[in-house]
Amino acid sequence: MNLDVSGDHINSKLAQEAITTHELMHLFGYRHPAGSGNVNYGRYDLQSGSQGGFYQVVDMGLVPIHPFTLAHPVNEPGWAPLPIPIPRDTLDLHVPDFFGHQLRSDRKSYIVEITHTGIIQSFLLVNHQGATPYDNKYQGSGLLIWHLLDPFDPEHGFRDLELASGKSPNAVDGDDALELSTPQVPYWGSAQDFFDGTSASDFSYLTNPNTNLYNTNDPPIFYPDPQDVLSGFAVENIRRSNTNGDMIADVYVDKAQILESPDGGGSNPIQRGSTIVVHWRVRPLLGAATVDLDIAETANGEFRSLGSGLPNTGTFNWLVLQKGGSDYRLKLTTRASGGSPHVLGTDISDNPITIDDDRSCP
Amino acid sequence: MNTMRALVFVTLLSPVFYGNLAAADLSWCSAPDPPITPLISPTKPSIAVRIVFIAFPETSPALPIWADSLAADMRAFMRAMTGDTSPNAPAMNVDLKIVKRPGADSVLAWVAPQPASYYYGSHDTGELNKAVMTMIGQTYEPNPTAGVDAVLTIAYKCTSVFTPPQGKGCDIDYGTTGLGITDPSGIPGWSAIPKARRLI
Repeated sequence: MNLDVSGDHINSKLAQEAITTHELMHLFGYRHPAGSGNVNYGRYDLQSGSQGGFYQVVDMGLVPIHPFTLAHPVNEPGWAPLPIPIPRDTLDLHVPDFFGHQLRSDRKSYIVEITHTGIIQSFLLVNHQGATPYDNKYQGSGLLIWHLLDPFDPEHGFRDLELASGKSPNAVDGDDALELSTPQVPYWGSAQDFFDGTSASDFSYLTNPNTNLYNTNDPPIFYPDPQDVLSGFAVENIRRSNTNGDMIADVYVDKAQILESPDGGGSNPIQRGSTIVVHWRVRPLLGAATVDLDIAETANGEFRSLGSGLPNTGTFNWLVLQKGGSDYRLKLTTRASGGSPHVLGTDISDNPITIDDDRSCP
Repeated sequence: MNTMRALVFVTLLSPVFYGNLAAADLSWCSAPDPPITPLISPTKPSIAVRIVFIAFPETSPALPIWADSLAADMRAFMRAMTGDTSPNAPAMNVDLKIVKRPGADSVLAWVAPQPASYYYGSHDTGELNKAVMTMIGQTYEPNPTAGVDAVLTIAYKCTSVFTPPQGKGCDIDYGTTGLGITDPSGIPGWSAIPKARRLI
């Protein structure tokens, strides 16, 4: 294939812009994303180059450079911050437009490490880059969410972009070939299928695409191993801020539901004999059927049941009959439906709960 | 004369390095990139780059009409990707220009002295690069590529003899390569230390 120099072939310009800039960025210290078999993101990272051969950017011209690539050049500080770790469930996480922030310190992407025996995989959560002219090629807007395999290892940095196409991943091999249609791999989705908070607002193990993990750590090559390892990681309730355009989401690192109140602390003890409404945040996509509530007198004490098999409505009226104490803990256990309900996750109140027992005896 | 400045000379041949790898042996893809010493970073945010279009006797010599906008688009893109308004962390500032021929020929590419097959067959891209840089050095005083950080050529036909494990460069599946000038002697105005690079 030779350059088209006829002068009016727009694709030639787009191709040369992409290739020339890609090569120039190498000189500037940006390598190809490490590893092999990266899936789906050629159109989302100019430096993906030949390793994203399925997803050629040539016809797209210049497309943004992946935030992680920008943040992680060789031997030098990056042009963007590294993703911010999310070690625990985080509600109302604001994800600013990555390229819309001209101050590097204001650019943010987030990474969640998922621990699973024998499998080292993570997800990188990053907002779309809709503020640059280069994103207009996608005609989309919203969150991009990626499977990552050991992303800080330069030789095993597998990345698999998940989008809300509703058609991926393939149940057999986990492949989710966006923007691709070949005899071997049919078209399964679109590069415009962002998690936009309108048409796609949730990403969990119950959605499609889902948050399941690949079943090995082997860097897959285009046709990854099956994504059949259940993951409790989820990005739910994705929406867009009306005030500043941030994408907002609730990020969960496991399958627990969060006990919201009483959560201990504060200056208002619970009065023995009163009725307290226990609140927990219901996750509709968790597949939860029932919950158990238990209470322990001390942090290391034995939990005793306040109620089991309770409907997962988010509230429970607790008639406080426990004796006075200042170190109580509440525990919420979430169970899946089925013949033998299994525990999805537990959450224990973060701080000691005080129960006052100063009533006058009749 | 700035003899300490590394000048990188790379060749971009055609949009083939993005080739479809669906049916290809991908073993070469998995090799880690060679160590890179960045020419630019947030602590050294400015860089001078020149682009040279190279035609051949058997091709049209016309520059693409988008040659100028290519440079402008690349400058804007790099700034957008690295943008920062804080005084201590400026955006990437790329002084990027096309090295054009003088006068009325400014709408034409530099024309290699030999057909592309000459370089691809038994010689190499470095010889082509040296010939064109010599031509530029003989045309302009001072040489417009002297002292800049990087020069990129965009050749109208494949001239690479780079041989990846599966075959010659310029193959649709194996991408292109750039070979630097290893012997800059004889290039007028060439003051930098050239560095050979292979780019895929």
